[in-house]
Amino acid sequence: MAELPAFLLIQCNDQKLAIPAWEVNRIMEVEEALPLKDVGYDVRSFCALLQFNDSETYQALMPTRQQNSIWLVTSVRGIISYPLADLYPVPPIMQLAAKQMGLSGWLITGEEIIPVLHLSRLPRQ
Amino acid sequence: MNDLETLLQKAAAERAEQIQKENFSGDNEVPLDSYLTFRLQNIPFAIPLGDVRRVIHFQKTTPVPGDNPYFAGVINWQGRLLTIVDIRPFFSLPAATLAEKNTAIITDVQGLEAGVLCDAVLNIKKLPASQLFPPPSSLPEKQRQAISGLYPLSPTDLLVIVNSSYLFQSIAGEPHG
Repeated sequence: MAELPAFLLIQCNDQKLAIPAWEVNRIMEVEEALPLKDVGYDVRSFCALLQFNDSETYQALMPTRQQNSIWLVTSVRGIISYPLADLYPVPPIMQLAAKQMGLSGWLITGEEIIPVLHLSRLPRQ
Repeated sequence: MNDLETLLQKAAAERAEQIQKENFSGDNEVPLDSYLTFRLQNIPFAIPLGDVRRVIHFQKTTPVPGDNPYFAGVINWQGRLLTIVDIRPFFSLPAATLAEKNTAIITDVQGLEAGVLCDAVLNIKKLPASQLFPPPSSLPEKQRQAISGLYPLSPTDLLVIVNSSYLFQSIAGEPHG
C-alpha cells in the first residue's frame, strides 16, 4: 500500500494551515524576527500574507527549494497524512486569488477545514 | 450614513418626484423580472432570482489566507466547500462582522458559486424592467457597473439591483465579457 503524502500542520496567529512536508527542508527555532532581515532572510512575504504579528519567539520553515528564505510561523503543530486526491479543490470564484497566494485546496479533518499552502508558490515581495 | 446611502437617498427623492409627474399607474401588462431582496446594513439590495440557489444559515467560517476583502471564508456545506463572499467592500460599505448565526444566499452566476453574506433576506419582488433607472453618475465606475438598476421602494428608499455577472466576475478577478 502506497504511503500517503504528509502535510505539516502549522499555526499562524489564529489560523491553522497545512504545508506539504516535502516542501520543507527543516524546522527552525527563531527568537527574534527583525535581525533576520539584516542577514538576508525574507520574512516580509509571509508576514504580509498571513498578517503575522510581532511576538517574542517564532518557529520557521526552511523550504526545500530557495533556501535563502525562511518562512515564519507561530508554531508547528504536527504532521498529518492525507491523500492528495481527497483534497478539496479551490472553488472557481477563488481560483485566481488562490493561485496568487499559493493555495491549492483544503484538507478536512473532522470539523476542521485547513487550507493547504505551498511554500514554493507563495508570493515573494 | 455612508456615501452610497446618501447618494441613494438623493436619487430616491428625485425619482419619486419624477414618478409623481409621470403619474405612474403600475401597469400590470409590463413584463416583470423576479428578484430576491436582501439587506446589507440599511440598504435594500436585490439579485436576480435565477442566480439564487437557496438561503442558508451557518455558524462559523474558516478564514481564507491572504487579504482579499471579498472572501469572508469557506464552509463545509453538504460535503462541499462553499466560498462565503462579502460584497459590502465592493460597495464601499464596512466589511461584515461574522456573528453566532450568519445568513448567506447561495448563488451560482455563470459557474461561479458562492454564498453571499447578508444581514437579512427580505422577500421576492417582481419588478418591471422599464421602471428601473441607472445608478447616479457620481458613484465610482466599478460600483455603477455592478448595479444594473435602481428601483424606488418609497420616496426615501431605493432598491439596488445587483449586476451579478459583473460583480462575481470582478470578485473572481476575471475579465468582464
